Amino acid sequence: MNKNFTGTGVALITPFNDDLSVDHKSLEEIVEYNIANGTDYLVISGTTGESVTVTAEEKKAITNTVIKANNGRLPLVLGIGGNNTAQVVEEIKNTDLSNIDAILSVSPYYSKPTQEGLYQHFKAVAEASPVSIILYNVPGRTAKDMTPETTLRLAQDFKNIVAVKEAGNNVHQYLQLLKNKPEDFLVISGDDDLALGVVLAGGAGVISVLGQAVPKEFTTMINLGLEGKAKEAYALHFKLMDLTSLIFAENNPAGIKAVFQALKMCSANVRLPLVEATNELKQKIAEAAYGFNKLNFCRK
Amino acid sequence: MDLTSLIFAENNPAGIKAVFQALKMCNANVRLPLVEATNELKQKIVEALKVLA
Repeated sequence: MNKNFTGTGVALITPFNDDLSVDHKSLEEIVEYNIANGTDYLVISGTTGESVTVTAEEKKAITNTVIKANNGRLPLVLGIGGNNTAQVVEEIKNTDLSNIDAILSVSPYYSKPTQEGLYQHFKAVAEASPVSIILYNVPGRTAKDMTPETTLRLAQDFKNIVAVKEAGNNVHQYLQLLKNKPEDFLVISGDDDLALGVVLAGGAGVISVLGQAVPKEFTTMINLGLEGKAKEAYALHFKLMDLTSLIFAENNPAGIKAVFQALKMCSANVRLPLVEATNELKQKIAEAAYGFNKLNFCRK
Repeated sequence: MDLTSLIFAENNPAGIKAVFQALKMCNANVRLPLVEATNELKQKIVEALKVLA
């Protein structure tokens, strides 16, 4: 079952129409584009999907659109997380997970729990969940790092905690996890810029933001990394490096949506408090994205 | 000063609730993902309160 989450997963954006309603048609096309270009699994309702400004009803509709468009072809991961343990448990119990392979659950943010609090939180999540769980540590957003000790304690104690998406931009912490993890446990990079290095060190792959816009190059890079072909893989990494920096220069997902706009795949609309990338950044993104456009199977 | 540092040493409001517990004004219960202050910290908080007694 763990094999489902090796390689390149992508944290899907939620495209919006000009009235900021969900653009389901473009979402379907982005799913198809990713499947056609080598993406290994899809992640619904992450930060990149603007989960914090999507209503519960919209989340259901988005999930159904992805399930239908995917039609059983790739494993699906659904984001269910929060900083109120009881509420997260409730959402897991009230969600139809029959087409979902795993939950991606962000570490509790804002209230800065202790390591013991993080452990107790994910213990409750693991006990409530009928499917696999991918822990998500992103201290830059949560304001609290989940230490490798806590992550590995959870990995050892709960069979359905199968992976961590680590996104701390901290090479040392990645290496500590890789060194000490149980054999079956997967360390997934949540940092697009560090993903290749993590894979070469023994990581399972990436849950990527950029990958969904340039899936052919990104998946090829990660696959080469998984085969230990560092030199070929880094050639692609260097090709993708400018675009990777640019999409995070102002805000995620405003940056990746600017890429999709440049590729004419959907609008760059985001919901407040996020705003679109500045024209200056869009210009740079369009230049960096030029050339990738024709390499991928594209609808237009 | 010590008390100020101590109540934020693990988590707010677990620390201040430990103070109230020591003062016998309410219990130290918190909701997950927060957990109560460790016994070690609670001990130190009790000690620090003695200065104010």
